[in-house]
Amino acid sequence: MRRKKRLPTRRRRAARCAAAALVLLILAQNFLHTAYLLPIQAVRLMEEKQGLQGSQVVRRQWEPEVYGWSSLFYLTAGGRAVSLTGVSLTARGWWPTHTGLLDCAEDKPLHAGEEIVMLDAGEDAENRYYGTHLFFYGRVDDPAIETVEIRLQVPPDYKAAEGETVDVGYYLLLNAPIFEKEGRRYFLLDHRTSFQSAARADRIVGRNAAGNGVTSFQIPVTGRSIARRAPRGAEAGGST
Amino acid sequence: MRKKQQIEHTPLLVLSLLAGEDMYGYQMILELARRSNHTFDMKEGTLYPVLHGLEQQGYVEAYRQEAPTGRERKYYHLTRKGGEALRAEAESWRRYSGAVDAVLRSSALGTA
Amino acid sequence: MDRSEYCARVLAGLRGLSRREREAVRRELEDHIEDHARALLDLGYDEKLAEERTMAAMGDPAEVAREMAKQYPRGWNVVAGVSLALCVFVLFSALSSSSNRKMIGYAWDSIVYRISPPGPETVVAGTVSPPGIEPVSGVAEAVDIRRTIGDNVLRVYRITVGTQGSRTAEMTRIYEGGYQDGALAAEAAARPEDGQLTAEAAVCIYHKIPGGLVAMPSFNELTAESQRGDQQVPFRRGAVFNPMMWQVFLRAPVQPGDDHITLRYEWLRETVTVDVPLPKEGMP
Repeated sequence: MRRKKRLPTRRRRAARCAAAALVLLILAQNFLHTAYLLPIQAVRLMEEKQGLQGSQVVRRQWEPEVYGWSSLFYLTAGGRAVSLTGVSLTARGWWPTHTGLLDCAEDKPLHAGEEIVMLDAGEDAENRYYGTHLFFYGRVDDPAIETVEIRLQVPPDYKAAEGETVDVGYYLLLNAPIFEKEGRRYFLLDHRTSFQSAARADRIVGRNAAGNGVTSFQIPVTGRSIARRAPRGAEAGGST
Repeated sequence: MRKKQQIEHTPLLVLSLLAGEDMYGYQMILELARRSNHTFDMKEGTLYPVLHGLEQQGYVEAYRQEAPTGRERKYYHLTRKGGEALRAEAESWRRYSGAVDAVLRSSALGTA
Repeated sequence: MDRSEYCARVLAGLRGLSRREREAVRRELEDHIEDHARALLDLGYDEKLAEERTMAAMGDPAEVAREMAKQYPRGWNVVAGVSLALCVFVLFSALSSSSNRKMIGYAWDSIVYRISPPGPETVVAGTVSPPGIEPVSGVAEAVDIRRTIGDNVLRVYRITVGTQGSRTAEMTRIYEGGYQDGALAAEAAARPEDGQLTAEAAVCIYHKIPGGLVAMPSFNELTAESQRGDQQVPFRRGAVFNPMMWQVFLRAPVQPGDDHITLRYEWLRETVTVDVPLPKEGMP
């Protein structure tokens, strides 16, 4: 019998190996969900768990100081919700670390949510929770609103380290930057405090061009998480 | 001059040989000699680097099969990509040789 | 120079080739030489002369080797090596961790359950429920109703109408103590009266793409109500430890004459309702 035995070239063998590796990698990501190749895949995982579809990235923010150089925060938006997800690169790949979901389905002039991240220096640290990282985010639906003011509740003696801020009573006023994406307006503002604060009662005011308040309410907390940072020089003794 | 041309055009000749049927190396040498009336008598060993190069480029594929005489041989087969390359190359070669021809003819006429 | 020496000289110049590639080159050259020499023998040449002529026709082995080496670029081997290493790494890390092995099992279950959902006994064995919980017993009917909720598929595969077991003494103690958080208290709350006719819909939820994770709201925001709008106590129990496929049981009180119950999903002001017909056989 005359049988054909095909003889592959180097290039073809390499292409086969690369294809096999790619297929394995995609299968592993799809079925194991251990970690992902791309940060956006980790964001999509969180959205999937939250029951959101068809959202797009509005803003990406890099936060190297607190969470290490490989941390990204994504503000994503769909028609019914806005969500803020933090992802970081682990030894295996990208994985979500912080997440919050803001329901925007209701007809309101302004939607806002607050993410609280406690900064944890580890069990052995003298000052374990050395601060709080607050994220304020949301969507501006009323076209009359031109500025968004966050009224941050602070202790009487609190002084912010940077930025132009005004104390009013025990509030620190911060101006949240508004940006536009595909015809809709969003805002995202983060603020690091040196005090520890898990329970928040911060307020938001949406103002029109004349500076008058259009809407004002207490910002609901949409998520809480802890960012751990191993104390420097004592990594070996660190615990989870 | 003639030698250089041969090396450059060996891949083209090999591709055109394979356009008819799948062949093994020695068969190609015989066929080339027959069709060119022994104009192209290359060193036979140098055929294989050319074949392996074409294989690497994806113009030909190799497989082993028993020849009608009973011995197993490595056959080469022209791929679709190789066929397209052959058409393009043959076309540009025809244009080139036609131009050379035209120049020669006009000079021959001029001296006549 | 004989043929084996010729081949050896060519191969000596091919250091970058793998053993298999070198063997292939040698075999091809030997085949060629054999063909050529045999043709000369057939023409009446003696063996020695035929060999000499053939070698002369083959050309300089060093030149053949030089040209041949150019056709084997190293880059492809690097690509193949890196890819193989990646394959080994992925397989090793997938199979070495027990959590990954569990995920493979979950994925398998989620695929199996798409094809044929399990019987009631299997389901109870695999649920996160308080001990002693049992499915509603009575008239059961297999159904197959599928509805898309976002990226997930909700599949109702069985409807049962019957009576629930009565509260155990321990359930009553926990329930009346006002301890609402425990699973046992929830189960006690789901059994308001003895002998209440109840419909139980067995549901599984999976992502439309095998391997995808199920959205939390698909479980949390799903309730059942009777056709008069009665909700028993929001009751659901199910297996949620498989993130790719959830089984949920939803109960609603029914009365003689009812012909369906409604499953209702509400999330971000999007509502999906699914009517599940009660068994045609009627009430027990």
